[in-house]
Order: sequence, then structure tokens, then C-alpha cells
Amino acid sequence: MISNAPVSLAIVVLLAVAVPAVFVLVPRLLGARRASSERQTPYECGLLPVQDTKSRFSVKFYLVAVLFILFDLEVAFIFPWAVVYDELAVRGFLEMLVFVGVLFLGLMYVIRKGALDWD
Amino acid sequence: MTGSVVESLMAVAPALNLALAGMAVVFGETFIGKGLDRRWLVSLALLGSVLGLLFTFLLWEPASTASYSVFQGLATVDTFALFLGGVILLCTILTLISSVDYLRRFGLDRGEFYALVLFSATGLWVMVATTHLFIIFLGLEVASIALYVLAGYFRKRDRSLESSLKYLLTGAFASSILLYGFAMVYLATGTVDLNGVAAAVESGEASTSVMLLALALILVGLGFKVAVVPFHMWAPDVYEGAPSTVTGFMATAVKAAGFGVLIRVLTVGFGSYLPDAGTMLFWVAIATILAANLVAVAQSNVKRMMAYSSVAHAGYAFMALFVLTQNTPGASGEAVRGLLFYLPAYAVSTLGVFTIISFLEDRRGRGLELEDYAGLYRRYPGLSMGMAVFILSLGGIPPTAGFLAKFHVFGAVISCGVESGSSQPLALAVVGILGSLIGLYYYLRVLIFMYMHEPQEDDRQFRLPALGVSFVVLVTAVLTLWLGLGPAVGFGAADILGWAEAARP
Repeated sequence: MISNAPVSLAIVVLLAVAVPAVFVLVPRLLGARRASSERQTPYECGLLPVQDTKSRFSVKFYLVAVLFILFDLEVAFIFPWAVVYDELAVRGFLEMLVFVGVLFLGLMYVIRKGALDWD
Repeated sequence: MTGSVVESLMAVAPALNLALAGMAVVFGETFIGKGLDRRWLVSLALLGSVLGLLFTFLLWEPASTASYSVFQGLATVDTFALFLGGVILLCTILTLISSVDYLRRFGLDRGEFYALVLFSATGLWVMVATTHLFIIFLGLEVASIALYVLAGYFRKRDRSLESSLKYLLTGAFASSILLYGFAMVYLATGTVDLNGVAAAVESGEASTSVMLLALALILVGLGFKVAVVPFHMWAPDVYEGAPSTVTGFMATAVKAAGFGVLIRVLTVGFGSYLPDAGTMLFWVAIATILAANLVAVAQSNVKRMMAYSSVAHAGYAFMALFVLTQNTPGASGEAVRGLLFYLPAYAVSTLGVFTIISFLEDRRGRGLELEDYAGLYRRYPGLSMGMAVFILSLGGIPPTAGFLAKFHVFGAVISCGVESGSSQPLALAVVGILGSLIGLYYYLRVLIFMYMHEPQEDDRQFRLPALGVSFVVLVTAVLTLWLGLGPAVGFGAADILGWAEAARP
């Protein structure tokens, strides 16, 4: 199929090594080295860090975040389905019903088990 | 056969039953809630898996004349898939039954456990019933993610959490290597369907170097999953920490599916490149057999010992895979048949052992040391008898399943050596036999402790084996003897070797 597969593979490997190497080396060679307190602080989307990151926080955040990702990802499957909705017709609709139905069962499970209750 | 939606769904009915039963169990656990007698959930789970087995038998006849290629070729339901799917379903049923009493004693009898076992089994079934690399990966991940959770099911035990974390990390690592191998296959051939890959290889379009890289990556990835040396490091810790019945499931159903995928990928997809994998498989098999058996001798914990034993058995199974690479058509057929017989033979004996291990384990996780088995036959004569049968089978003593399984695999290796005239297969057979001899030492030690040592003075009370435990031990013991004797003396119309013969891809 792809007659020059080894060449393409070599190019990918080369890029995978070269791009990070350039990113690391070029600033080191060209960049100015001025130490200041701003430069030493961690970059957090432009906000100033207010405290040490090693503090403890409730594991409930984790649960909510994981559940959010789970139900957020289903949209990734629904978008392409919506785009070709007309072509898939009734069969596509029924298949999506099955998919959403399974997810709905999962959501019910999460709610009934109290995974979304904060206390 | 390619057909309608209904036909597609019918063809994958065993997996569908597992998945639906799993969802029904979650539904029951969710809505019926607190006061629910969990026995109903177990019955539901069992109903799903028994129906799955029933459909397997119903599909066998039509699939043996023309295999189903359904869902636009994404699922391939042939006798090979149904045979291994049947093994997986059998393991699932036995695991479910033996788990009930075990979980109840720990106060952890929840619907989630049974649902996760069913989801895992669904994934394993999907893995063996496809020639499409992405679907193989999909099934593998469905099965693995459920197992990561199951391994950590005893969440208050550090060992169980450690087991879950180690399994997750090494499993994810192995999955990514495997996926990279699949990506290389796509790069070389432009397709991820094994039949398409075979066609591209035959027409000479595929790039040899990339295909060899793919083969190496896939062997490493699947080698992790079935735990062969040097990719076995996770197995002892994971097997020791996971709940005992889950360990039994991991050691049997997951291995069956893993070897199923290995056979399919090697025989269908890689055809002419196989001879180049010979050396790798040769050394992996030798290292696995020797290292696992030698290290198992030093174990005092029965669960750990069984983990190394399971690695060693993966080594014997790899001997059969080695034969596939030797360009000896006659011996290759024998090897696949032998391996397909090996998997259920090993599965029933191992499940029996782990059922007994789970029964003897107490709430605090004691009862797993070899000393705890001292004088066992006085307290539990029935279970000890069952254990003796399983141990002899794992050691490869006639008239058990394990002997016949080893006989067929070693026989295939030797006839490969005769057919090809090379000394490599014969060397491998010698190592296999040596490994079995070392294996006998630590297998028989369990029997010596059970029958010839005085029982320890301790505070543990006699418990009557629960109905489920007795049932599973009885069934696995009978199956172990039947698989060992049946094909040898030729009784029973449903000759398992005949099935294995028919299931060859």
C-alpha cells in the first residue's frame, strides 16, 4: 500500500526527536539568561500562585472531575453522528438511542450511589 | 456470510448476553438498592453467561460450515472464536459461582463485582471474535479496565490496591506498545484488517522492515498480557494482591483470550514473516519455562507460587507458537490444536485451585501460606482430593487434562523438529520437559503439606465449604479428569480434541 513505509517511519522518528530538541536547544542558545523572581515562579495560565501545590484537597474533586470527563466524552461520539444524521436515518437513530441509553444507565447509577452528593 | 442487523446481533449473541446481563446487574444494584438480596443479581449474571454458552453451542454448527463475518467485517465469528469464547464463558460462570461465598464472607457481596466480571468477559469474547486490529484493541481495553478495578476490589487491603495500581501501570504500558505495533501494521499495509494485511503481504506491497517492527511490538505487547518472561514482572504481585477468584479469572480467561489473539494475528496476518519471529519465540519460551519454574520453587505463598506456575504454563503455550514459525505445515496444525486444547485444560485445573485458595483465605488475608495447608486433608477431605487432582493436572501427571495438554503441545514441537530436521525444536522440547520436572517439585510440595504434614495448632475454625465452592471444585475436578481421559479412551461424542481440531483458524 505505502511503498515507502520505512522512509515515512524514519521521517516520523526524525521529527519526534528533532522538534523537542529544537525547542530545548534554541532557547538555551539564543535566550537571555536573566534571573528574576517572576521567572522563577511556576507558570499557571498567567495567575500568580497563591500557595504550595502540595496541599491536600478533598478526593471528591477527583470523582467529580472523572465523571465530568466520562460524560463529556460522549459528546465526542454524538457530534460526528449528528453530522451524518440524514444518511444514517432510522438505524443510526436507534443505534444512538442504545448508546445514550447505556450512558443514561451509568448516570442513574452514579446518582443513586451518591457519587455526585458533596456531603 | 454478511447480513442484516439481526443476523449480526445473532452472531455475537454470546457477547451480547454477557453485556446485557452486566447492565442488568448494574440496573438491579442501582434501583432495587439497599434491601436487595444479592443472590438475585448473581442469578442474573449466571443466566447471562449460561445463555451465552448456550448460544455458543447453537452457533457452532452454522459457523463450522461458513463463518460469520458481521458488522461490515468488524466481527468474525468462526469456530475458533466460538471455541475460545466458550472457554472464556466457562471461566466466567465458574468465577461467578465461586465468588459468591468468598465475597459474602468479606462483606463485599456487591452487584458491581459480578457486573465487572461480565464486562471483562465481554471484552475478552470480542477480542477473539474479530480479525480487525482495532476491535482486538477495543476488546482488550474493555476487559483490562474492568480487571484493573476488580484487582483493587478489596479496597481496604493495601495488597489489593498495590495489585490494582501495578496492573494498571504495566497494562497501560503494554497496551500502548501493542497499539504502536498495530499502527506499524497500518503504515506498512494501509489496512488494519488481518485479512487485508495478509493480502498486502502476499502481493509484496508491505514493507518488510516495518512489518517486522510491527511483529516485534505486537509480540511484546501481547507477551505482557499473557505474562511471559521477560514481561512477567507484574504477574506475581498482581496475582497475589487481587481477590483470589479474580486471580483465577485473570490466570485463565485472560490468558485464553491473549493466546487466541496471538494465534490469530500470527497465523492470519503475518504469514510469510513468521520465520523471522522464530528466534524470539524460541528464547522467550525457554526463558519463561526455566525462570518461572525455578522461581516458583522458592515461593512459600501459594498464590504467588500459582502466579509463577501460570507464567510457566504461558511458556509451554509459547512452545506451540514457536512451531507456527517453523514452516512445517503438519506440525503447525498439531501445535494450534494442542494449544487450543491446552487452554481449557489449564483453565479448569487453575480455576479449581483458586477456588480452594479463596475458600481457605480468611478475612484478614491469612491462610495463603504453604504451612496453612498442612494436614488439610483431615479437615477437608473432599477439597483436598480436588486439590490433588488439580495439582497433578498442573504438574502434567496422567490421567488428567494437564498431561494430555502437555502431551499434545510437546508432541507438536517434536514432530516439528522431525519435519524440519532442525535441532531447535528438539532443544525446546527438552527444556519443556526439564521445566515440567522442576514444576513437579513445587506442585507436589503442596500435596506433601496437605497429606503428610501434621496440622498446625491455630484458632481457625472449621467451616463447611459453601455449596458454590463445592460445586465449582466438583465440576472442575470432573472436567479435569474428563479432559484427561475422554480423548484418550475416546468416549463422549463431544470430543474436545475434535472441537479444537475444528476450531483451527
